[in-house]
Amino acid sequence: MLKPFVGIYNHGSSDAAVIKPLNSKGQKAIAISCGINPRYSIDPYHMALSAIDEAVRNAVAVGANPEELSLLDNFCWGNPNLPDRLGSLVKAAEGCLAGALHYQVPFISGKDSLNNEYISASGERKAIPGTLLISAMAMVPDIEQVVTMDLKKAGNLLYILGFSRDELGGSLLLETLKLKGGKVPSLSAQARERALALHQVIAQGLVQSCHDLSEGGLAVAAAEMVIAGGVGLELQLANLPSEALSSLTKLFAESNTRWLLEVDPKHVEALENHFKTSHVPHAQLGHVSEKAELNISHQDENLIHLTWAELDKAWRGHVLEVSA
Amino acid sequence: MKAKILILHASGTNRHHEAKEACELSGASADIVHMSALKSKPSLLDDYQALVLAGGFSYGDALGAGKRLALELNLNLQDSLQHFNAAQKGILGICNGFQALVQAGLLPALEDNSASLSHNNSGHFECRWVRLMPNVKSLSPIIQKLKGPIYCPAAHGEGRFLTAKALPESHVAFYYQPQYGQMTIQYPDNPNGSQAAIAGVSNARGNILGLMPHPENHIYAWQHPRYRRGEVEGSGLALFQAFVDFIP
Repeated sequence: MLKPFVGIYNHGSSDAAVIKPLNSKGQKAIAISCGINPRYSIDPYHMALSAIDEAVRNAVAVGANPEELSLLDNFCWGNPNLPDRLGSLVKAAEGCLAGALHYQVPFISGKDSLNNEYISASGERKAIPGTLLISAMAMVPDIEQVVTMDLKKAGNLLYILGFSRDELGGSLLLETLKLKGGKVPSLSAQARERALALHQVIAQGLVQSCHDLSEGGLAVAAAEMVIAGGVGLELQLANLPSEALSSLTKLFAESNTRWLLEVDPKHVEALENHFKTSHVPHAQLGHVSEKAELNISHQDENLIHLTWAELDKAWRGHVLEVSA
Repeated sequence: MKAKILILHASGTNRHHEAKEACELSGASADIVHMSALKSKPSLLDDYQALVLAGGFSYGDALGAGKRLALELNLNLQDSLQHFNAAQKGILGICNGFQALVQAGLLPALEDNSASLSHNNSGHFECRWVRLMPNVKSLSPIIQKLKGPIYCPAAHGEGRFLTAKALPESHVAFYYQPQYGQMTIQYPDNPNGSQAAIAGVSNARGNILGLMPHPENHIYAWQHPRYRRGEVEGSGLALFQAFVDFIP
């Protein structure tokens, strides 16, 4: 029902797929999502927590119920007979345990691929980065509640749900800048409550589009929504729920359990009331604009100004020829 | 009485359940019958008014897409298929089924022309939604019943329709149609580089019809990739309804 690619040109990256099995009766469907980030292998415990969080938030973003969700793990590692490989494997497994207990979701199966090692040109024995893929399967109560990540309509408002921290370890930003260091994202003690709060507003039909924040953080998520929707976003980061952060970190931190939500003005009151009652951090960052470009500012400082064509070219690697 | 349709299942066919669902939603009754059952009793075909060759990868496409299925049709079912065709019963080949009908010589069935479905111009498997325009000049009564374009996914590696001589326009069932307002048809709207952007063809009487894309994969509104944007046009069910209506 929901494909891996969505949006006006079927080329926006969906958070999850939704499948309604042939001959299945009623309105229920199944969401299938993934979480993975080999850059976080510098901290295997938090890599595991982040992979679980990403799989869960992807599923919840499309309308799945986090209380009817199960997980699979897939470990790709080096030779576990070597102490450092085994140590990181144990740390990742501990992260899986903590994440599953936090979200109160079962691991129903899993797989491993070990001994992925090679001898480098200089004769040194190397392992691949210990990488954990988490898959989630979750029930979508009603296919008519499914939400996609493409922006729908100018005039709608854009909200963020979640809290941004100084978490740039293993981030796309540091890789792009060829820098090291920083903290790999952790898991908030409130993550499950946020997922439940989001599911409830989606189930009430209050959300027009929703996209999780993952690699590249807020800036990349917003760009993806613009690319898929063919309309623009005007965002202001002054109100972003966060620690004290530089504007660069606000744009690109990869803190877990965050989503961008497009909300019709007529649903703003209901949505805000629900989030306030649930005590989840949220803020209105701006609105969807007719002009197809991404503008992000922080108080008086313009941080990002990119047209749809520039974003689309960066995403596809070439220009889409459209004469419509 | 409901029209009875036989959905042929060769080993490796994978869209037979969707094809059955589409036929049933169109008011027919449909049975999935495996090739081995039909081979051992070709007279089974006599009980049916129409035949659907569903999509997939019959026999792993080991000899080329649809080639072994075509051999099976010609070697084991030739007589019963000839009777079937002579009675002007309907035969619909989708994707791999279309490839088999072309390889078997049942489509476009022109004595002075040969046809084939070759590797896509892109050099790889193409999986994308395409818009199909029914040819207004088609001789097929099935195509003539269609009111508008069909939007459905194509999923194939060997879908480039080629003929030795230009195909008479009356044999064209569907053309790939440009999306997003372009005036000329080009990749990826024509996903495989078919000559004249031909997506489907029929025989002269129009009772045998084949096409590369998968109308059986867009039979519910929610299967449309932009359903959540409120887009609902182009159901593939229209083709199955026209096919069932055509059944004598």
